[in-house]
Amino acid sequence: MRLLGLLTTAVIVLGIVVAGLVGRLFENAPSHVSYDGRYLSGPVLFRQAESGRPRGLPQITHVQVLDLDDVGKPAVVACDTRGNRVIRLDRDADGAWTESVLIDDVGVPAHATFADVDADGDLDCLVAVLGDIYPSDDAVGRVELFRRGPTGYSREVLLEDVRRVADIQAADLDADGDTDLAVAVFGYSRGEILWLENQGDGRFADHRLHSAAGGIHVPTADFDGDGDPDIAAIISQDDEELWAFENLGGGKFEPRMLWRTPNFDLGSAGLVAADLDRDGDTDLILPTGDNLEDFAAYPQPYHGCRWFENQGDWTFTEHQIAAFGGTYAAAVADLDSDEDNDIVLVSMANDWSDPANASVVWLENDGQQQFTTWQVASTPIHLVTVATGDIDGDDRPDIVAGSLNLRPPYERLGGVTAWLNRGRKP
Amino acid sequence: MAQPGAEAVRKLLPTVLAGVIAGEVIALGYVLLPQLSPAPAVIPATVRADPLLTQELGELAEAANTGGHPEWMAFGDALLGQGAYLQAESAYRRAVGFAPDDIEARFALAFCIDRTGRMEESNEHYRACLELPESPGVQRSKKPFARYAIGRNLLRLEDEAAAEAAFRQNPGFPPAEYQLARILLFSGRPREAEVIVRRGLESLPLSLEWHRLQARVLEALGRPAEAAAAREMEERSAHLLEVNFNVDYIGPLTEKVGINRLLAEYEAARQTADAADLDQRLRQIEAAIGDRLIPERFLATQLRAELALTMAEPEAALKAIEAAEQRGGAGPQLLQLKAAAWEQLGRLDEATKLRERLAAISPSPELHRLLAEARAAAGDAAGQRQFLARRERLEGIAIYRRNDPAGALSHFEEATRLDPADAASWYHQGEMLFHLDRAADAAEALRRALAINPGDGRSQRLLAIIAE
Repeated sequence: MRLLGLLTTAVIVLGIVVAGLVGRLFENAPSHVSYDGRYLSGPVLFRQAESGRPRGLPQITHVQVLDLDDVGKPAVVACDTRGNRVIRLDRDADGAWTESVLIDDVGVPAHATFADVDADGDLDCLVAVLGDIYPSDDAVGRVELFRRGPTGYSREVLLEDVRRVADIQAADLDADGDTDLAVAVFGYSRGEILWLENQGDGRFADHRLHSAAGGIHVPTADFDGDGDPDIAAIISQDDEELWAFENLGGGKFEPRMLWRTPNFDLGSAGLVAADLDRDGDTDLILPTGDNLEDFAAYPQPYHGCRWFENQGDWTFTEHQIAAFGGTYAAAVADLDSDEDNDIVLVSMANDWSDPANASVVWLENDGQQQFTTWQVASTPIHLVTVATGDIDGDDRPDIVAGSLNLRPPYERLGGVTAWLNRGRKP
Repeated sequence: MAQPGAEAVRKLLPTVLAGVIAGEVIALGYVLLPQLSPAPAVIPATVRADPLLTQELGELAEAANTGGHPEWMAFGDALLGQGAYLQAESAYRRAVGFAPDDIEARFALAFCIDRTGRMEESNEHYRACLELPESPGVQRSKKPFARYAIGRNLLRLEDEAAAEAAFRQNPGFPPAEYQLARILLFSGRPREAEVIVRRGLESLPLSLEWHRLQARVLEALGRPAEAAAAREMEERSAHLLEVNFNVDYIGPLTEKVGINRLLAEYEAARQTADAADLDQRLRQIEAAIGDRLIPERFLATQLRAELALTMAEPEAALKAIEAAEQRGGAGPQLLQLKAAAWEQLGRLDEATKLRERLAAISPSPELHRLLAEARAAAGDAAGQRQFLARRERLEGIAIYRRNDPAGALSHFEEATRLDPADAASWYHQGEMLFHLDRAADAAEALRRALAINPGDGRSQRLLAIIAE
């Protein structure tokens, strides 16, 4: 009996000790040891096509696909901030790429917008000059116009002595028949949203619409369906806010805050205007995942893509449509040819310690704006810009993206990379 | 008398209990053995391409494996400085295991969990910090930061009510008061927000964030003229609140190991060391970089070229620059050095042309000074005055940003004297005069700006404020 009592006591005491130690172990155990940033490959086949072997550490801030010469053959145009230039990439029928410099000696170009500003029948180039890729409050930004002429582009500075300029969009904002500009002065601690009134003879008058640091993109579209272009803006520095500036006519604008989140760390990274649900009005698509303010970025649970569905009367309903770590840019196209709009997302800051984690995904639309995320690629990494367009002439939208290699790891390097759409898998 | 069944149980019970004890001993061993012989500290895969970093982290890991709390903290700090949050988290957990009362270790652990997106779990550790004693010898308490981080995480979870309560528990900590005022403003309580903003500005009169928030509060209260004045104050307010303390927290840790450590040491030595010493240090940096394509390669090239120019060896500078360009190096810094090397070689025209290109890419006071000298040498007095005027304007802006409008004014006056056709300099002159309460003179300067550039919106806006 004495042995039994001793054994029972020993069982209880030892049990308590073990339970305590196991509990302590779990208290100190990481609840999350790695981030899963991988997705299955989807029903569309993409073939990767590098535009050339990257030299150095490419810093591409903007890509677009457009038919610059109006000959039915789109080219890729990219802002190369490391080289301080805007380049053009043409792909021939054999798949070889030719690179040429469109504009040289432009101080850290963030965005190039093509529009016929001088109404002479060709596309001029407006460059949003950031001036410094790193955080700076100095007045290093500019709005530069490169007029297209018979022998190339000639430069005019439309606005200077302002902080870092991130985006310019062109539209006839005051309905006087010429091209005005919406401008996002990102700055750093201070910034603003402007519109530049074209006063003719190459003169532009600047008007402030909003004062806030962190304006990234200013897409223009007729959001309220009243026949004139309005301006939207995403603000992402101290505040995370979505604004619209309703065009009242005569150069007057009514500011409207469409949405804000208290989550200062959301990392809004851009803004795309498109009729995602094809209901006849213009929606807004917001990629979120910029965390360049940290020394080292890491995917956050709120990174991904939000769709702001235009309900009319300046009401936009927010839908979180994808989670994707470090999302930095979005583009809209019908990638699977099923008559609805899909979305491509690229990531600057997924968890790159796992080489299988995605850098490019696409969101397949089921026609009811329910989206499934599919992986396109895991290399190259550090992608900050994406566009779609038919660059190989097969009537299917391809994907083009650009890498900004500012942060480690310096591997899986890319400059401008294309993924050619080969259609639905058999 | 016992029943036969009970007798059997009684016979079996010691065996069962012994079995349970054996199981418990095995479990105990499972738990304790890893503590007694810890798994090797983990070095992230992403740094393994860097031999110096791998070596130095390896040494720290070895010390941690055989050491205690200080060694695990050192290892964790080095990892955090490299952005390896998950590996740093494991190291700090070990440090916490050795010293559960160390607030620095607990805070660092909470921070790693915070930055990897686990806000609720992170807050548990930040809350634990509040119960711990202060670390001896540490100048700044971690507790206000822990309280602030709790509120910040609640904002990330979009729980504004809980965040408000958290920030209210952190009075006197400016970032927390700032976040509280923002919550009040955006939840329709601008009057309450205004009280906090006013208090914030009393303690930090030149805080950019407080002025910015004040402008929004005043707009919400329907006081647009005061809001515009607050916006003007943003321009000259250089003080930034620690709203995002992440960079300040991690910054010093980034230079603890690897090439960044060598570069920091080189930077510190530049003031005192001679050229031979700097050359030796640079060789060490170049050897550590090896053949790898990393930004530090181009930084080292820049340092090499600068050193060569200091030693009046322009050919060596050009050789370093050209080698970098072949590897894809580009940018204004390299071009500036190339121009300086050409100048030393007597290739003055080439240097000037390159500097003229640079003026379009990355203007600076020094560049404008050099171009003014070149114009003077070419007998172009008007061109010289234009570049000198731009230099004065850029210097004036920099001085104004340091909240010295009187000091800046003399530069803008000199700029407008040198180049009366520069609208931007007239605008800035008017802006300074406005801040110095010389409204009539300000208006005159702004009118001069508008006469040159009628579309200058900021001159129009300031003139409107003066008129009001």
